[in-house]
Amino acid sequence: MKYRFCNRIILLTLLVLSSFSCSSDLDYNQVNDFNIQPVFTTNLAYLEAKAPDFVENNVEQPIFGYLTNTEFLNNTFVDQDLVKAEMYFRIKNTINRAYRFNVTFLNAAGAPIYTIAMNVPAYSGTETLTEKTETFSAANIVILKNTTKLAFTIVMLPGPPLTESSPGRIELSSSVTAYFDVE
Amino acid sequence: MRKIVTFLCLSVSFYCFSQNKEVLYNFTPTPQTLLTNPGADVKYKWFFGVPLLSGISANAGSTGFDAYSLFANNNVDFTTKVKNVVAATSKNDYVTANEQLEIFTGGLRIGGEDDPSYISFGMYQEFDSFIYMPKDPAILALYGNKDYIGKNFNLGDLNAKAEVLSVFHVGFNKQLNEKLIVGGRAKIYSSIFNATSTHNSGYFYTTQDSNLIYNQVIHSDLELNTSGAAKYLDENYNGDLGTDLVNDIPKKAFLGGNLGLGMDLGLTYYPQKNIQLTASLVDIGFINHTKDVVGYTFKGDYAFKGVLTNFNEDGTVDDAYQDFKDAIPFDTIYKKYKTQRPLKFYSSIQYSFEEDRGDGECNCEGNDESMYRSAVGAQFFAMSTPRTPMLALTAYYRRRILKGLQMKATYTIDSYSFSNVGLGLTTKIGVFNFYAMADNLLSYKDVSKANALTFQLGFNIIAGGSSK
Repeated sequence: MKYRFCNRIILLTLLVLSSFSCSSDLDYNQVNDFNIQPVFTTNLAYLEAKAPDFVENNVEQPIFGYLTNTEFLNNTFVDQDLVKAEMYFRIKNTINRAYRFNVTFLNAAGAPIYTIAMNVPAYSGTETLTEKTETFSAANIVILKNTTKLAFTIVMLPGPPLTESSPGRIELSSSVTAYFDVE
Repeated sequence: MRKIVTFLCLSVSFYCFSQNKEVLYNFTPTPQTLLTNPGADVKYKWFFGVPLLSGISANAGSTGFDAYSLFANNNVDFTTKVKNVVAATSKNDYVTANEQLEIFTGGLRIGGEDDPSYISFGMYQEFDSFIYMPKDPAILALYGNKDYIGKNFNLGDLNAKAEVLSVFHVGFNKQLNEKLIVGGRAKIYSSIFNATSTHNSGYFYTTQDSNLIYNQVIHSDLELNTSGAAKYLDENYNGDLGTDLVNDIPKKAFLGGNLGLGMDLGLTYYPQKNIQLTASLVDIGFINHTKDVVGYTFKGDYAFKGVLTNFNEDGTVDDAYQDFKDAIPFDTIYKKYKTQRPLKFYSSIQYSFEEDRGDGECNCEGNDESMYRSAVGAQFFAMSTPRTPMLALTAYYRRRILKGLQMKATYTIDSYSFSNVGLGLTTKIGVFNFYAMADNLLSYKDVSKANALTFQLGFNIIAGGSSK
């Protein structure tokens, strides 16, 4: 008799508990919709050349060129998820000469596939500031993905001759802002 | 990236538990209470658990968010929900899960009724995980660093561990005198799988600089140790995961895994007949991981200035990416390591009242039932975690409703909630004992919004008196 009573209490308790127990509608499949769009900013290059660097043994050296690997562009993350990139260049000049600054994108075969050219005016009392932002969007982002090397060349244009004691410097700072879309 | 997030979300949906078994603790009619205090004041001639059904417990909890905030079917974009959860939580929020399944258990009284001692033994399987919210790395992954110039991202936010193990144990419980009962339990752990990454540090920041456009510095001291999964983590592994697991797990569960030793200690003390104090330490122990170990490290320092930075120097331009990989290599290591079991501390004070005097139900042959019908008490629980200990305070009311039916109601304050009401019932019909306990009952009206849920249930065969 008593046991039956106990059983009833337990049964009732379980029933009450289970009838109170409910859950809002949850949808675990939405994990598949997960999509993040992080934006990373980083340096690309920093170069500084002083006026005397363009002179060697009293002879002007009008061209500097550097080639750098961009292996970081050639991985699956960039290949699949990079959707947009902005390259920002800032050139400050206090040398009394004008320059032409080129950034050339080379593919795996070493062939140039894209060039960014910047004209830097000569110093004439106040520091010159040249800025350029190159945007790669869906239409041409593939250029970046195919790039394996970047060539930076700086060409000094004709003007008043420099000596090993000429003042001033030309400085390039550049950064990349990369927009990813990760699904 | 997506795999990581999916894994994190799944572990949330697993819903772990705080491991605090506040209803079971000191609920002495249930022999499983001995696993929370080997010095509990139990009374039985012998008992054994119904194999695989004697002790089933699971518990899951998360602080700072719940399943609803991530998985509600409410047309809010899932990514937005993840972002909201990341924004609403701190690095000290966590998700934990614990599950225990008793494979077998038993116990018997040795010595006479005047000088009783009890031994109990068994084997259970346990899953344990503890994952802190990786707040800063999550922000970095979700948003990138562009809008966080100047912010120091703390890589030490990465802090997680998970373990599957089996435990063999033998406990001894002795009444030293009328007032004092002490007990101890020796344990052998056999770890089936372990992953531990709890001693990480490092930072990543981007600041603006006058010459360089940005200064970027990363200092990384990250390490993940695993044992028991080397075979599956090998990139050349192409076996059938299901079949291999079925073959491997039983072998490792029965002492074939990485072994460890531990013990529990506990006592019950009656300063007066109706006042009871108890305390216990559970899982004072460690596991040595020597077999089947694979670890990963990501350690080093790197200051990134750009792919081209040395215009003035002759020679080749550095390969920044290679430099980075050299400075902070991603290494695979095979070294032994040791893990501590999460140490649990319980204590309680109980005041009993409504003394039973000659109401005709007295079983004068022994302490078949408590001499008090009711008791109120308070319990304190603490558990070690990779960071600050987890604490909980419980007030409870215990009552013998009928001969053979006892209940315990609890109210608990812990890091998950301030409104945790729990209820346990244990019944003994003949020799057959069934118990069921659950907490956070208020949240059962919508479990998806619960921060923590715990339940235990099981069947035992118990001969002799149940308990006080």
